[in-house]
Amino acid sequence: MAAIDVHSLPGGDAPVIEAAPAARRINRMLAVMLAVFVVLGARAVQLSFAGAPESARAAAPAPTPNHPVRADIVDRNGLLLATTLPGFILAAEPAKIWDPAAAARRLAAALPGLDAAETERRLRSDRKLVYLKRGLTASQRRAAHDLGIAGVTFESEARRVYPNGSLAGHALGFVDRDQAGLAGVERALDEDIRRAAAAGRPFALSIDLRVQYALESELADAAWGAKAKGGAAVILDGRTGETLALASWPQVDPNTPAAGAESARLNRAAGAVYEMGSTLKPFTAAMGLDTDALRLAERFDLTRTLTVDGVAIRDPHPFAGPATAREAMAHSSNVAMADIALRLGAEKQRAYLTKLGLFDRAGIELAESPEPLRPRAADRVTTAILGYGHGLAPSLVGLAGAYTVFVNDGARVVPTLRRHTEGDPVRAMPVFSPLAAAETLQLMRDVVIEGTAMRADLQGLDIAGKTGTAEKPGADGKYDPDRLFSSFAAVFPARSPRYVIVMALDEPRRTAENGNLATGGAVAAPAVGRTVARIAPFLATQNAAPSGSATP
Amino acid sequence: MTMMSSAGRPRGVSEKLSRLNWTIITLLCALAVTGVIMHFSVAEGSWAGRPLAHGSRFALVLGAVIAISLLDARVWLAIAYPVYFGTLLLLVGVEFFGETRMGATRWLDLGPVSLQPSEIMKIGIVLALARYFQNLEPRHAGTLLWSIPPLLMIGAPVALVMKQPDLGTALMITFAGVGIMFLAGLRWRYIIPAAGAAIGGAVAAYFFVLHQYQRDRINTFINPDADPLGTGYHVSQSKIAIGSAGLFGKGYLQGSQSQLDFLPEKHTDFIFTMIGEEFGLMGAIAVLGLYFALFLLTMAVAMRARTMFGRLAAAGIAVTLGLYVIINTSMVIGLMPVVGIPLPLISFGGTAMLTLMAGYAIVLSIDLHRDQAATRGLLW
Repeated sequence: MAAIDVHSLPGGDAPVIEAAPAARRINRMLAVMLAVFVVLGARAVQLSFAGAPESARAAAPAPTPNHPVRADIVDRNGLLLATTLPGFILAAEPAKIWDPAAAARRLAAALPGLDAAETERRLRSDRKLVYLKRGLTASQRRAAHDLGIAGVTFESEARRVYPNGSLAGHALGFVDRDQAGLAGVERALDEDIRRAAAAGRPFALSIDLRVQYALESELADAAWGAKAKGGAAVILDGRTGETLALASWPQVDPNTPAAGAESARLNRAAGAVYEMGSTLKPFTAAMGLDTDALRLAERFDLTRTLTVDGVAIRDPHPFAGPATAREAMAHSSNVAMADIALRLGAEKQRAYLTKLGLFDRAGIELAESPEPLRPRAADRVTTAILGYGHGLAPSLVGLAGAYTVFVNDGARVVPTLRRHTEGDPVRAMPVFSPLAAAETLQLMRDVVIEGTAMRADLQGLDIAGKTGTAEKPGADGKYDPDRLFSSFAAVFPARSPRYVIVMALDEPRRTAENGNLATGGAVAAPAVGRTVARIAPFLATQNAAPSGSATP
Repeated sequence: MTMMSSAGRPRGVSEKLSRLNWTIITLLCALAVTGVIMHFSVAEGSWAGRPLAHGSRFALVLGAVIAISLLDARVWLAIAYPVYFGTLLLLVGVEFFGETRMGATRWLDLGPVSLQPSEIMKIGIVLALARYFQNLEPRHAGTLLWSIPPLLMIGAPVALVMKQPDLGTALMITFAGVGIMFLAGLRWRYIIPAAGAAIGGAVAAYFFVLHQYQRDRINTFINPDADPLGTGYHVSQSKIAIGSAGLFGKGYLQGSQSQLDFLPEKHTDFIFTMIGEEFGLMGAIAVLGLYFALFLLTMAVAMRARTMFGRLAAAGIAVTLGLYVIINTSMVIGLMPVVGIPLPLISFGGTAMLTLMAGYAIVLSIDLHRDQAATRGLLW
């Protein structure tokens, strides 16, 4: 620098100027700059008094868009059953918390359910990061966030939400915190649900939410009315095997599965087996008709006692006089069914029961679907008892699956929870001849018209079915007449059968509401009738019902 | 003035030091300290890292600035063209050998240091234009013919910087250059049509010259809430932060948008948001006030300067400072599209600090030696 001779610099000799125009221009520029700074200040004032734009405010808590790993679950008509919402974990870096006590107090005040003392303890820990609360909603997160406590952070986590609460809760199941399916469809179809999410589309179930709601409310009413311990019901589209509704009572809310009792979490429709008794009798009749071991015209003496290898079988309230097969079924005769079973023999009987799917897990996808309790022996007594539905305990869904033979000309269709698309193949396994199935259906129609299920015949609905009233084994291993399992399994519309409905109540009591009777005909059949009356309009079966009888 | 002149030109270093414009230095320090305070908050209450680096870097640079400002003001006149053309060469070098960071080629790797020539150009253009008008006869200044060289001097670096691409710096060079031409007396009859042409050109540039990301930013500026998680994210968050702070802010270290990491780039281009959130409207206005005071004092230096070069150079640096502040705060509070211009002396980052402080070395030197041209004295 020292080498520079300023005299030789260009301009070094330049005259000193007053540069008047430049001075004026500087003043102008000052004015412009002042104006710009005033605008900046005014904008800051505007922002701070008007606040941020509302839409920008709404954007504040939005997390980085996370693609849920689980697809939405929808019913067959696209109604939402399960979805994934962004949830948040409240976390903190204790090192950055200035005043753990104050921070804990303020957080606890903002977030009900957060324990201040425990939070403070965690905030005082010397760990780098502590988690304070999981499952925060966006608004809870905002509340905590607005406290503006330095060191408090949030992590996002997906939260599975079932917008309909307990509706279809057992069918849907639930997930754990890491979004893995633990029960129901969420577990059984976990992979499909994840695949659907990857493909960006919802996963459709066979469930029809309207049917589901009708079934659940009627089941709940029936269970309350009979002061039952539990209840279960299922409705299948017998032609495709699609489960339109699957209900278990008491209900469970999959949003808070742990909140309910253990007994509420049990899926009584698909996850438990019951000895159902007489609801299995139509199969015995169908076996007889299919093999010509039974002819519709023949007569049974139902007053007699059938002694099989020293075991006496009799009807508690026998039909007087010679009974037709129709009357034997309508009055749910044990004697006639044991007789038919003995004519068939153990081998044929078991072959039929196996083809009916009653010796295996119900084909429904649910992981909780259990193996049935099968008869251990193959002696004559067991065969006779099996004839009227004892000694075998399938699940309700399994029984409903077996009933599809009355819908499909004697062929059985496996129950499913996946929505069936027009054109998908349906696997139907022939069990009975179409004639045997049709004749048995007619026997079941008579059960409703003049037999044990007359109370299901509400509003002239075209239902065909069979009641069941099984005594549950007591602690001593003997049947306890005070602890019943009362059921009704039916097909409708009988003239052009399509749907299967099974409902059962666990330990219903005799109450004034059910006319001091706790049988399947008294507690389950009327509820099925009411359910069918409610759902028939959806299912468009009105035209199949007798004309003029559909008045409310 | 007469008093000053009769007092003679400064002789010894200590006398020079005492006659330095300490008001300007105080303001520079106040802004840098604001920066340190804000970086302490960005670091969530830790001195390590940025707060300390920012403070020590400023102290170092300030020492150098004071030392340099003691040099004869005519040195700046002498090096004006070399600096300008040298930097232009470096900009060409960036074009060919530049290092690409974050999608833009702005850096030149010179071994131990990497350099952004476009930053030096912000001062280079001021020096070169002041130098040009220094020797121009006043009757020529502001005429069309004599405006062609300065326009070329502005256009060449702007074109190179746009190519990097760095819209913010290109804007700053353009405005600083045009501002000096205006101060030098460019006639209104050229200014008004040129302004019209510039607006037309800007619209054309939007469609034909700008990169998609630049276009996105402009669209986002017009409607930031259309894409609050994408390009509009900065601005939305920043408006929320300032809008939610109220008159006195949420308190130091208490800003939620900034402390909870909603706000990206909060230590650099968006640090004004943190000031607004933690110190509220009052804090934001106080910082704007500091800058405006600095701007006024710098302009006062320009007014006092006795040479055209000194006047235009000081004014040009004042304009550069103003542009930094205006562009940065406008983008942060949603008055302008997002262009990457830091808040000088407060934002973290050495280059912008160096650029501005180099400018203030010149300003302080011009102010210190304002009587020199009259006395013709020599330092050495």
